[in-house]
Parts: sequence; structure tokens; C-alpha cells
Amino acid sequence: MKKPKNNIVEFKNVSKEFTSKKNRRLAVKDVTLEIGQGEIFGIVGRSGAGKSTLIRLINGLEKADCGQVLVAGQNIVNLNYNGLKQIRKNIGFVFQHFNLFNSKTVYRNIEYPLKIADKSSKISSDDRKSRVLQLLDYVGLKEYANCHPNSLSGGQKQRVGIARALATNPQVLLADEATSALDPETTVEIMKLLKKINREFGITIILITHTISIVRLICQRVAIMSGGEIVEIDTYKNIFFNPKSQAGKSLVSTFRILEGTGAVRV
Amino acid sequence: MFNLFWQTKTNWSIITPALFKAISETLYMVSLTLGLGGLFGLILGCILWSTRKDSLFSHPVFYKILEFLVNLIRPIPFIIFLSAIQPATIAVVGTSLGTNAAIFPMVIFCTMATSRIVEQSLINVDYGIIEASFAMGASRLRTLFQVVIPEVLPPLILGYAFIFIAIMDMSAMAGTIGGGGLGDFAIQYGYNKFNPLITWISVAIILIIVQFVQQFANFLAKKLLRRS
Ligand SMILES: Nc1ncnc2c1ncn2[C@@H]1O[C@H](COP(=O)(O)OP(=O)(O)OP(=O)(O)O)[C@@H](O)[C@H]1O
Ligand SMILES: [Mg+2]
Repeated sequence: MKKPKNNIVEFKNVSKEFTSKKNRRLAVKDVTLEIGQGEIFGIVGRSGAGKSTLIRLINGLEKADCGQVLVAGQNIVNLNYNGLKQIRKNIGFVFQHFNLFNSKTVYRNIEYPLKIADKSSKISSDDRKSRVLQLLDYVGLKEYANCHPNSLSGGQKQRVGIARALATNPQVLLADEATSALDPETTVEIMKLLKKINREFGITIILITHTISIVRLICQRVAIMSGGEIVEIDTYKNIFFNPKSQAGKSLVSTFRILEGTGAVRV
Repeated sequence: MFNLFWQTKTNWSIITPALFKAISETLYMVSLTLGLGGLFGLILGCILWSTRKDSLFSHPVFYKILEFLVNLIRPIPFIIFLSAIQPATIAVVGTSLGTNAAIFPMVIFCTMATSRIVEQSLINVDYGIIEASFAMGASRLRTLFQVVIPEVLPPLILGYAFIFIAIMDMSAMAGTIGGGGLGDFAIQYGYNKFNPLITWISVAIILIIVQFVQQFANFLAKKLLRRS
């Protein structure tokens, strides 16, 4: 599978270092990467490889030390708050631990990003309401509008998380281990939902995972990160059956032991 | 000697109006202090928390200075603070005697104590929800008011109940500078007149007020916690 022509996210020689009094850590090291519009792009790699840092650079939760991060053609590295706000409206974020607001109902959780965007785009409260209800319906949680997240199952929480991330109609959805806290069946459900979102709305999805079967299930391309660098980018098939990098080989052999995915025909 | 206590005649026609006056003075002092000190404390607590390292408006130097000031005042015994701050009380209230004069140092003390409780509650907020708010494009102030504070409401309410008891304590001491209230009432009509019955009535009323507030706070916090 080839990368689509139009890039929605682009890294050009991006590095990010964390410094504290005691030590410095190059979390992302000279990454150059192009992600096409409408792709489902996977990122795998060992703990501490820099995956989270890499995707947090896309919406400016982390600021690159050097290089360019382009989102829909715009370099976001030196944007001020208002610039970032516009970019973030265009990028949904789905978290491993859901990060829902327990003090708000499911309805209010999903409405929150719309309220933030409100000032600039003048959405009326009626439009907002119909948008929230539409999203709730889409993720199958219509009856839960007035519940608080505490009372939901993990899978339901993540559905709220996804609805919330989609609220402002973003072009890009970032998912950082979105199903790591969920059981296998729920994981598959969430992945199907993401796939559906990608297909129906053409939203580009960039997801981090520790599970190779997720990559097989939905990713068109996958990047392997190691020590802050992207050491390999390819399709699931190529990476799984013919890893070229050292990190790729070691990851794949581990996946084979853990998941036995090798037996599955692709 | 002990028997003497019981022989003291209780003159109810004097005691009863004095008791009601004392109750109303206590409620006045306590509610005003809770309202003002609670509000200032909330603001100060938010400033403390949000200027901590890695917080919303991280400013370690500013934080250190503010923390130093709060920690400087807090350990002073209130009854000493009351007289130490007398010049400021005169400057602000116009007099250093009476109920209003008592409220001024109470508000300052309450602000300090509340700020620490607010800060402690805020420290326990999961950073994930702050991050989620930022990821959706929220500003830091919006995140503070619409995400962080609502999230800590249950512990905050319990914290305020705790503060309320501390204020009751302060209000009793404020009686010594003519603040009136139940503390003053107990000393004047109970202790000084060798009439423990009066003291016990004051104790009972204070207990009732405190219990009522504590139970109400518990109820409210539980209700907010069990949001379903
Ligand atoms: N805010 C931070 N301050 C200091 N160091 C950080 C910070 N965030 C990440 N790091 C460091 O940067 C490196 C990359 O971290 P990152 O979270 O991106 O890894 P990851 O690939 O997402 O790992 P995991 O699979 O465990 O989530 C790690 O060594 C980490 O300790
Ligand atoms: Mg991570």
C-alpha cells in the first residue's frame, strides 16, 4: 500500500530534547516523516522510544527544539496560543486512560471542545446540541448522555473519548495507546469504530500501539521507533515478515512469541 | 466547693436574650469569615497551585515567596495574631474592638488556611484531564475554572467543612477583644459566674452548629462523588 499523495502531517528533521537538572534526554531525534491524508498510520516501538513525544509534537503539546512540524501545510512549531487553538481544533486526541472529566456528564464532556471552539466559529447552542447528540448516536451511547463517566465501562469511556475527539470535525485523530486499558473484544470494537471513522469521514488516524494485531487490523503503514528515531516505515506485511532494522527484528520476534500473529494469513 | 456551682441561680430573663445575641454574633462572624476568607483562600490556593513547578502558570520563584508568606502566618497562635495585627485592624476597620474588628484577623487567618487546603486538593488532580483540555485547545484559565476546580469539588467541600470548624474556634477567641459570640458568652456567664450549665449550653450549641455543617458537607460531597 502506497502513501496517499497529499500530506496532512509532515515532520522535517524534528528533534525534541527533555532537560532536567540531572540529565538530558533526546526523546525525538531528527525525525523526518510524511503522513498522507486519510491514512491510518501506526507507530510501534519499545517503551521510552519516543512515540508519545512524537505525536504530542503534532498538536503542540510538546514543542520541537528544531525542525518543522507541518499540519495541513502549516508549520505549527512557533505558533502562539491562538494559532495552536485553531490547529488543535483540527486534531482530535484519544488517550490511553480516557482522561474524561468525571465532574461533567457524558453530554458535557463532548460539548466541551465545541464550547472552546465556539468563540471563533459562532456555533449556536442548538447546533451544538444536535452535534453532541449526533456524536453520541454515532458511538452508540445515546442513552448515556446524562451519565457521568464514572458509571461507564472502559469501552464506553473510550467511545466517549472518541466522540469528544471528533466533536470539532478534525482532519486528524491521534490515539496514544487508546486500547491498552481495554480487553481484547472491546479493543476490536474500538478499532472497528476507528476504521469506520476513517472510512466515512476520511479522517487521518495516527495511532500508537504495543499490539501488532492492531496494526494488522487497521494500519496501512507502520513506523518503528527506537531511541527517538524512526528506524523503519513500511506496511504491516513487509515489517512483520521482513523486518530490516534491528529494532524491527527484535520487536517482531517478541510479537511472534506474545501474539503468534505469524500464523494468521494476511 | 463543687456544690457551689450548682447553687448558682441561673437568671434566665437575662441569660436568654444574651444567649440569642451570642448565637447571632457567632453566626455573623463565622459566616462572614467563611465567605470572605473562603473566597480569598480559594483564589490564593489556585494561585499557589498553578504557580508550582510544571503547573498551569509555573513560576517557582513567585511560588516560593507566596508559600513562605503563607507558612509564616499560619503557625502563629490565633490569639497572639489577633493582637499582633491590631494596628492593621485599626487601619482597615477603624477600631480594634467589637465584632467587625474580630472579623478582620479571622478573614486573614482563614484565607491562609483555606489556601493550603485548596492547594492540596488541586495537587491531587490527574494531569491527564488537564492535558486533555489543552489538547482540545482550551486556555489555561478555562482549564482551571472549567476542568480542574469542578474536578476537585468534593474534597474542596470537605476541606471547607474543616475550615468551618477552625473558624468556630477562632470566633470563640475573638470574644476576648469584644467580638462577642458564644465563646465570650460562655466565659462571661459561665466561667466567671461559676455557672457550668451556661458553659455547657454554649458547648451544646456549638456542637449542634458544627455537626449540622459537617453532615451537610458530607452529604454534598458524597452526592457529587457518586455522580452517576
Ligand atoms: N515531560 C518529560 N520530561 C522529561 N522526560 C520525558 C518527558 N516526556 C518523555 N520523556 C522521556 O522521553 C523519552 C520518550 O518518552 P515517550 O513517552 O515519548 O516514550 P513512549 O515511546 O511513548 O513510551 P511508552 O511506550 O512507555 O509510552 C523517555 O525516555 C522519557 O523518559
Ligand atoms: Mg507513550
